[in-house]
Amino acid sequence: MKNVVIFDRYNGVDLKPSSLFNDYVKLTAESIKTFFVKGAKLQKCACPGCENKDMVSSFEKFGLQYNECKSCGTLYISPRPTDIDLVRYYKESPARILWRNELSKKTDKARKEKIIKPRFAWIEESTREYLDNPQHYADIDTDQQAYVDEIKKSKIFTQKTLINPFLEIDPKKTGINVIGSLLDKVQIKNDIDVISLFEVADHTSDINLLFRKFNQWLKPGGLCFVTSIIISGFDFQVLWDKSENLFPPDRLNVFSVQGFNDLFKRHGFECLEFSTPGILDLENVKRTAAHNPELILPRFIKNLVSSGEDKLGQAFQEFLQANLLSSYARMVIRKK
Amino acid sequence: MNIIKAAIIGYGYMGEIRRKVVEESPRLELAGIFEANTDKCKKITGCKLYNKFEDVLKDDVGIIFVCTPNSFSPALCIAGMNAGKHVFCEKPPGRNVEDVENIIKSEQQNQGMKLMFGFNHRFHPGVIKARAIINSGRLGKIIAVRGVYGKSGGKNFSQSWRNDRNISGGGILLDQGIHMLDLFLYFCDDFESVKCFTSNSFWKFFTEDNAHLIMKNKNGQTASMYSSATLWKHTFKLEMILEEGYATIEGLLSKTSSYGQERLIVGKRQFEDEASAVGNPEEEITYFDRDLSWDLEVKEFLNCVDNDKPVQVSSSHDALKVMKIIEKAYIDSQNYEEVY
Repeated sequence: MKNVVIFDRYNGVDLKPSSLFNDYVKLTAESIKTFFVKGAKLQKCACPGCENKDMVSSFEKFGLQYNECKSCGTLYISPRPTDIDLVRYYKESPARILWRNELSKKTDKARKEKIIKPRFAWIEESTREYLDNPQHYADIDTDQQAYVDEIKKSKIFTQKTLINPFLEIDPKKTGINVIGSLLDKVQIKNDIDVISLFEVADHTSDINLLFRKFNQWLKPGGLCFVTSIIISGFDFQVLWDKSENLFPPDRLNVFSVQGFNDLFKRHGFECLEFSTPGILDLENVKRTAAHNPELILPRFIKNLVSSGEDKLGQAFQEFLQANLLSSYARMVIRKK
Repeated sequence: MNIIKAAIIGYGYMGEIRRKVVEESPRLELAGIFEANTDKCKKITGCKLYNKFEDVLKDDVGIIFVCTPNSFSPALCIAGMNAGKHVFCEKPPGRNVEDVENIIKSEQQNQGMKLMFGFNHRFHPGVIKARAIINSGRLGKIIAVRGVYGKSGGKNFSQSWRNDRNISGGGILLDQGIHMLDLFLYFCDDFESVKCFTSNSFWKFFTEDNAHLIMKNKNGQTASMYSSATLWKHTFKLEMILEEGYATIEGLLSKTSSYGQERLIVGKRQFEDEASAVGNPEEEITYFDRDLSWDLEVKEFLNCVDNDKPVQVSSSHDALKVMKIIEKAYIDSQNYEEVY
């Protein structure tokens, strides 16, 4: 298994402009109340990582309960909305409409350069590394035009499919096959070489169904590229319930490294790469501390975030990456 | 699944590694081992021990792994192919160009028999990933390569056959540097111009313990390599300079871990019009923790055997190219024949 460390520089605000992001968070809190707390039926579940039922109630966000698995340390919402209710939420909630129509568009350029293009470079290079003749690529749940543009551009795959029940694009214009069904209705078997799951594991209610389904879709030896946040990351460990990036339903499952490894193993995948190439951990702590004067940080952390030394911050972030301690993870797994 | 019987010829360091690969492969069955040295024979348990090499040739064996000192390898490869066996031979493929040319003649006379050489570094994870990145074209074309590969000798080094020129044909350059040169050729075009300095000033064997090579090819790619048996800190470093950036493989996964953790460092060059053009670009480092090179190269060999495909990676053609460079280097090295 390999681990990648990336020395890149960008600012979290480029990706989440403060005032718009605050609006998004407020709308999310309201939308959750309308869609889940008052409306839909919530279901109890075991740890999505290791399936252990032994957990500690950790904290509540927007009326939903985060629990910490006693066995693998994964943080997860339970009881939780079903995937059908989540599809409705992602399609219709004012929060997601704001995301699609404003936030996503306003940050399109920065996201494209700093996130989306590097992700496709990663997919293409790793595919070349592991597969001889890849043909069919599929993405699950992508909802941004910038992703669709990159998928369209990719030259190493001859067939491209988007599986997303709430995507509104014209397939004829893109040359991409679009499947708008729910996961359990998609009928594909041993046909896809490469699948990408960008932050999908984070907001999927039935994680076992997701993994079971795309395992069926992949050819033997096929690859899946997963990106996700992880709970063992620095900013989550420091900020915990105060973290501004930790709220439902976008973060229904916040796996630990162990939780992900258990999930992969359970579904017949071999992990080829597990990296935490995040670069915003320290900045996230710094920003949250600035927004919350009452937040008491341990003295060492306070000293670290208040240091004006760019070099120190970079060196610390690199240390986090090298030791799988950043909160953004990327993984390559292979169907056995 | 079609199981192929394999025999191992020579049970030194490499023979033991090959035995493990054969025994762990679901496609191979170990038919037995032939080892000429009676002391080494005592280490062989749990499988058939051939008394004579000829017995291997007569046996129902599909593949032979030749893991012997350099002077014996060519004759064994030739005899194996003549007897209708596929042959996997460790590097170096012989002592000199003539040895390899003789093997190639036999290969041509035995069409259908597959022959591959153990340039396993091509299958190291850092090399595989570097090749994927370079082939993607995002860093442009290779301008230059620079390699350092060296070790410190080790236990019983002075008694090793590797330092007996009659058996080995050369020193550290032929024994270890050949891997680095093979990688140069894997990434670049063939190098026609070769300059070299060698010395044996520390170990005083009749072979070189240090070699410095400078090379250039018709496409203007330049290369330099330092191969050494006096690098007290074991070192593997391959730097590739490309038009749009660089890729460096540093450290090498090995049995003893003495070369450090294998990692690939990739950086994109900063352009002249960028404000932050300070010659210290952002980098991406990939750390690897699993060496599958021994298995992958045998898998590639089996793929050629199964599908009757020509061997294209670590082929006799590759072996000949690298041996020609080494021969040129030895010739260029001042008074090589006289000194050693």
